[in-house]
Amino acid sequence: MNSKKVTDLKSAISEVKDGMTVFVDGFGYNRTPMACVHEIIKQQVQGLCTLGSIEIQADMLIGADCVSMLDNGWTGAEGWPHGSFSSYPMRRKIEEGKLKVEYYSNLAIAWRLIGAAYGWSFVPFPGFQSSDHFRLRGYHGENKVKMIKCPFTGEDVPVLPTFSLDVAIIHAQKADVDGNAMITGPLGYARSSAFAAKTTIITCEEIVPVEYTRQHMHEVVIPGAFVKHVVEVPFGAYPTACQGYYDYDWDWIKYYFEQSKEETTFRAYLDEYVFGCNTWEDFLNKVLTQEKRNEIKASSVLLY
Amino acid sequence: MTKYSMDYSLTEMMCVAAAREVKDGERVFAGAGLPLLASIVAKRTHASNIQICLESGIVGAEFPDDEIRGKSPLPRFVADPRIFPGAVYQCELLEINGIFLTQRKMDVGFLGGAQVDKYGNLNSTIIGSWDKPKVWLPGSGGAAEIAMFANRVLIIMAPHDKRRFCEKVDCITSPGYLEGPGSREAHGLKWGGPEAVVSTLGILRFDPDTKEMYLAATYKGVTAEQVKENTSWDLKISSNLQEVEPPYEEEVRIIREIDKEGLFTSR
Repeated sequence: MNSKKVTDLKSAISEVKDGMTVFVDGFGYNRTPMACVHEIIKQQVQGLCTLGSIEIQADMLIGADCVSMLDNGWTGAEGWPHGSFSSYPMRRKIEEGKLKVEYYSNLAIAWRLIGAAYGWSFVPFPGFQSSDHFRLRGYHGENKVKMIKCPFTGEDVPVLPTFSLDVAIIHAQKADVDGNAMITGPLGYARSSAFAAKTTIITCEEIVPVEYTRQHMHEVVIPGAFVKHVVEVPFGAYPTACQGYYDYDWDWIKYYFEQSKEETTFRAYLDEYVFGCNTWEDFLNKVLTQEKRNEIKASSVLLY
Repeated sequence: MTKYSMDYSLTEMMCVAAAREVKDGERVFAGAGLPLLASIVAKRTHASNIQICLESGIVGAEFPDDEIRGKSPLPRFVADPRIFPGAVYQCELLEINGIFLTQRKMDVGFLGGAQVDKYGNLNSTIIGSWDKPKVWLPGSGGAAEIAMFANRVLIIMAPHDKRRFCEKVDCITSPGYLEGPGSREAHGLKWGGPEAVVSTLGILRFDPDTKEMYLAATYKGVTAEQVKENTSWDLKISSNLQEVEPPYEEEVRIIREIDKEGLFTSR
């Protein structure tokens, strides 16, 4: 590869420094950049501020003490029937005083991100005042949300501060050497975050030539202009799903959440599966048997 | 001849009760779990023209069977890849929550939570006081905006007990009728509100004047007293209290066909 954007996982993640505002994509157990999550933990980055509607990545990054501030659209374990789908590491860290939280909503987060991409300093959310999230204040306090009068209609309108990012991390199906990312399946906040970030890292199942991009222009979801690093990481979203490539591995997701429920088992999981694996391939070799690979391999018709 | 099932579980009853609340032709915003299962059952029974939408940005989901491998087509979560095959439109959360909802395109929204109160306000944020919460819950997700902007909301709550059905929720994540008549309007909302609650004991609705939840129907074998005992406020009972029709055999068959693995219903 002769592009300056193509790099390795370790180098790309070295962009994530203590105290930064970071977005790690993956709405539900879909296209979560798990290889990046493991690498952030291995590099022991701390004090990150993050936001979103996030699950396994939030659970791990909060539990591993990488994230200490959370602007919360939704954080939990979807489909995992305990504690109203709560994230136990999130609860533990809030109780220990190690995680500061501010409760928003999915739409509030979406608008805060896209607003930053548009270069605005605030975004309106008419109706937000009907939720107690307008009144409940966490670590942002006064600056969580404010009420203004619309200068044209005179109506009361809540306004939220926009949220620009130091780093956005997204896993795509394909990307080319110029960083044009082709994504299929649920998009989550992938586009908004890439547009709102100073640095965007794309990991992908396969790097394709730019000639491919030109034949499949409609598949490009994030243009290379917004992408700094591209890393080819096959199974980079495992155990979450990557449409067209592999289904999610519910057995492993369940196993992970069983371990993250208690601090001791969570730490043991990190020691074995994160710190105990030198590379992402080591992790895959450890847990992803050929039988499981066959089981989760996506059908070309149904794409899961 | 529609025959009643003689062998159905409580979750199957709830699923059917929720499915029957959906009207044909509606655009339904459903979350994974019983809401989605109920929507699919509705689509395969009395409401074949509904358009099922999910927060991951899918409109008009179909959930075709996986004929070759036999994998369950029932999504476990809203971004499950099973939502894609056969859908008519895909967009980002920004559009489905930020435009479809705010432009009043969602006829029905399904919601749940850790607590519900007599005005149908829902809590999925914290349990306890705001200064020192006892429990930190996942938060709103799309629930707040669904509660604000869906044309009507259907709530599924289980189990029906005093802890969940409380006089005033600890935090209003998702607005029902807030403090009563006129309250939604006073907080910037121009339409919407909860229409029914499907619980483990029966179906509750909202008085059009007082906006208070009342018991409209109980499942076979459940008494009004039982429901009152399990509700933290003085629950009003309809003067025309109904018994919920049990599931038809056809409805149960369809549930078991879709939820092969018993993800959201038990036998």
